Amino acid sequence: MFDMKNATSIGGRVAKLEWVNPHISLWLYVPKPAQKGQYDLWRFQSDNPGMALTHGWTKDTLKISEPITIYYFPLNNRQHGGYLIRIVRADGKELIGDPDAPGVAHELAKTHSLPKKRT
Amino acid sequence: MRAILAVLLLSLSLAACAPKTETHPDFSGWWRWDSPDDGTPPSPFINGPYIGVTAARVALVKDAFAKQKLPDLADLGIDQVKAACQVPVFAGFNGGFGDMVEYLFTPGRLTITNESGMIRRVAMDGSKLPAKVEESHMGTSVGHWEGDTLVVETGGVSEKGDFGKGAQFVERFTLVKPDQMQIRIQIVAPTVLKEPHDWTLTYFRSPGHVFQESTSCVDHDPSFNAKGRQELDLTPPPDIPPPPKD
Repeated sequence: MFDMKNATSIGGRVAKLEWVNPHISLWLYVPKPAQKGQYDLWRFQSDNPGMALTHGWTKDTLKISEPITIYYFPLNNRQHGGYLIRIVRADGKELIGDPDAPGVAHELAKTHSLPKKRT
Repeated sequence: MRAILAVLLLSLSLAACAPKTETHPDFSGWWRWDSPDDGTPPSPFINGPYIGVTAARVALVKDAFAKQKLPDLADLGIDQVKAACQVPVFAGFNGGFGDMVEYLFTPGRLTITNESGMIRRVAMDGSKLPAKVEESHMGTSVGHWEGDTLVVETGGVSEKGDFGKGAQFVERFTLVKPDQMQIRIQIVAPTVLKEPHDWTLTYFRSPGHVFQESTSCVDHDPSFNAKGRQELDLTPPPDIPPPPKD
């Protein structure tokens, strides 16, 4: 379903975070190119709520309308969705996706975003 | 003064007569498996002396992860939506990857459960594992303490499990740190493993974790279409806020 060889990024504003099993979903309003004030709605999946908590997320982590950049694996059919790798917030702070999901750890390692193992 | 002394002596003698209660390590709370987080298949048993069909299947999984190209399991005839709601079968792994694990001790009994519906009932009443048991999804388990290590022996797991008919499991649970558990597991599986094999799994306690619901069997999984094939549902939720005005 996801193209794990072509990670990419996109900017937009948080529309909604669905805090549900088996995957949390982040909905993002993405500005339409050359159409000021118009937006497309995108959906990004990540791990389940329990696991997301261990990666520093809560259901209130992101605020509605907050500007963010999402790094993600696009859908194979190139529709408006993808699998979340990491998020960069306006202040530069990051939220990571699920390192256990295929391909995510590789991408996080490239940016040194992979969480350090506990000892 | 004499009365106080009498009460004190009585208390001390009662304390001396009271049965001694054994104290064991604190396994309370929810536990998360320390998965490799390195892009390899997230299974604790991915490396082992596998034989036959299982060896081929493991090789396929490793290859798919290495190429970062996973098949749609629908192409292999697997209904993933249905599979997510099937009754779990014990296969050596208590969970802790997408579903955290909990250990519940009651007199003479340990229950090991996870967030995707697994319930293992472990007799802790001094009984031995019978030589022959009826097959079941979770098998038959007995446990005992060896010092600070909990030892659980399991047999009679349904052949639907990954380790096939006749598999035997011995798990040794030890707290190596207050919030870090090590499980050494030996699996004997004549139809799947060339020889008995030992694995070591690490778990971390997840402070504050609260169980909400099953993490796998849900009413609607937006990752699949009505035919059970992978397709992300892009229908916006009805309560989505309007787009920004600026």
